[in-house]
Amino acid sequence: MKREIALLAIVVLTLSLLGIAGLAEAAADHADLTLSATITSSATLTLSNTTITFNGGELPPTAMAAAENMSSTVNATFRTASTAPALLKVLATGDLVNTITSTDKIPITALKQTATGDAFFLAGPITWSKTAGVTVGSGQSGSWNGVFNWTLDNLWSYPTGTYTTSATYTLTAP
Amino acid sequence: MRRPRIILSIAVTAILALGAIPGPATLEAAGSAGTQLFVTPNKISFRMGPPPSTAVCEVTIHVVAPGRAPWRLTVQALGPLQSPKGSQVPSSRVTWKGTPGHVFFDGTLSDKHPQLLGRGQGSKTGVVRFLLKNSWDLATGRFNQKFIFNLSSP
Repeated sequence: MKREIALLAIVVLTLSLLGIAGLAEAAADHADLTLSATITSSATLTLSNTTITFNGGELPPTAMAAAENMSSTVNATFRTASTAPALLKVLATGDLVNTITSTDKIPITALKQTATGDAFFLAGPITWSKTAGVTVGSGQSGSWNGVFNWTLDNLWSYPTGTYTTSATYTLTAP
Repeated sequence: MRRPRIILSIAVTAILALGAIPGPATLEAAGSAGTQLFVTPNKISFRMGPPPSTAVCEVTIHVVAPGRAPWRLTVQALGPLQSPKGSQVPSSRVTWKGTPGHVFFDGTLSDKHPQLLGRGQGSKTGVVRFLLKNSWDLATGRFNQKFIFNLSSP
């Protein structure tokens, strides 16, 4: 009987201690949250000038220079998803066409581009094309700044007039 | 010999009934009786736009506390956001905005120390919007990480 009483006392004491400990213990809870994010390659390209004018004041064979303040600052910012470099290409829609006659043309290959600034941009001169994009910049992820300048070959054989064309610069980050 | 066994059996039953031995925990609510934390959903996925856009994900937090029992809620990342290729996004790039503001606070995630996310008394419900700003210096890939929310009540 004594042994039973002693055992009961131990049990009661144990329960009491557990109860006290329970009161003192800080209530706690937790929860998990799993986060995922997919970051893809991105690219942005800005040109300060999107219209270039050649006034044609030079005598052939001196190439025509773009009119004053007609250079363009350029920024190419991109992030690639592979080790292949990003490429900046320019593709003209066609030859320069006389706005009056539409038949007189200056071949687009008469237009040359040079660049200064970050190494991403090819110094040139680079001859434009209307058949395939011509690479004017190449490199790894980053933000690159440069200045583009253009000249137009000047020949005595060009009929006088105003000529126009357009081109698209495309920055591709693989 | 029989009586001690009966007494021991009663004692064990009593201990279990009192909840002194914790049972298996569920994901959202694993707390001691009376104080519980619910975070829904338990998985979020940022839809990243091009830089410098910010992706946002929202979770609802529900704290159940008896009466006006005070509580404190912290959050900690288990590490930087990690891609299978080994690229990382520092956990500090993840920030959050909590509402209502007097209970759930704004903050920046850390994988070093728990960050205070909320504090209150009694049961409260709030919304936490996690933000991840895309920037050009982040590597491409799919990144994952787990956060742990800890609720404590003295």
